[in-house]
Amino acid sequence: MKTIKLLFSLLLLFTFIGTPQIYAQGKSKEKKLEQVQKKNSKEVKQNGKEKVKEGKEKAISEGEKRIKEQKTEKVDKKIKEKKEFKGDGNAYGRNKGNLSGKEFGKLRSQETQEKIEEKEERIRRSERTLDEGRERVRKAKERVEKQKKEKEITEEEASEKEEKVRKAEKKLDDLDEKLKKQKEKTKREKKALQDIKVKDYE
Amino acid sequence: MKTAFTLGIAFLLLLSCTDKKKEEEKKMEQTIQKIDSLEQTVTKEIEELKDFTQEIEENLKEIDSI
Repeated sequence: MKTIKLLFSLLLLFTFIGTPQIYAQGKSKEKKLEQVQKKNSKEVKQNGKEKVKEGKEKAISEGEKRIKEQKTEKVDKKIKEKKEFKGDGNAYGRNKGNLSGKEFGKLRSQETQEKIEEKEERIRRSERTLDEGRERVRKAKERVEKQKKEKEITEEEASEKEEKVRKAEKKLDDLDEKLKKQKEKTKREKKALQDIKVKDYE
Repeated sequence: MKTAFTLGIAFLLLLSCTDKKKEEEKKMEQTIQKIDSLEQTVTKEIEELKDFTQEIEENLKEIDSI
């Protein structure tokens, strides 16, 4: 009986010691982020007050306008900085909140899946641009030919226009090539993500 | 003697559990890093494709006015 008690106490002790360590990393990052946010908001407030004083000394309306612009710029900048702040640690400890490692991993994998879908949508849109572009180039070529035939433009103008069309056509060929490559790459990325999922979560 | 033996076994058991947990954490961290890197690549490719398509749109607008 004594032995069982001892074992049970040891297990309980281990549970209490082990659990907080797992969450500690994420919490310290959150604290850091909060501190940075507080500091930034204080700075913004302070800067705003100073600018208001300056504005009052000068022409009121002009000053206020400028302050507003500067405030907005600064706030935008701070917001951007806050968004970019991801902590010093690795991906595992970053912004994990109350999620367990596995749940966090699943969430990240879901986000990546969404990104891949976004890329596929982007490819489809670019394909539409490519098709429309080919049609527009064909029409432009016809127009130039017609203008040349009817002598509406000089030889120099014609060659200039033809050069523009050639340039656009070349770009479309490049896009076609890029799209083919990206389609292949997306397939590989999908498979890679699937492999990670299968290997580690299922 | 019996207590010392039990304590020893319990300690070894805890040690092995901790090691296993750490190993799992490390594995999970590596997996998340792989996912992060994949996401970054995809984001970069989306941006590149968007920029290039926009560039082409501008070229096409130019030839529309011919």
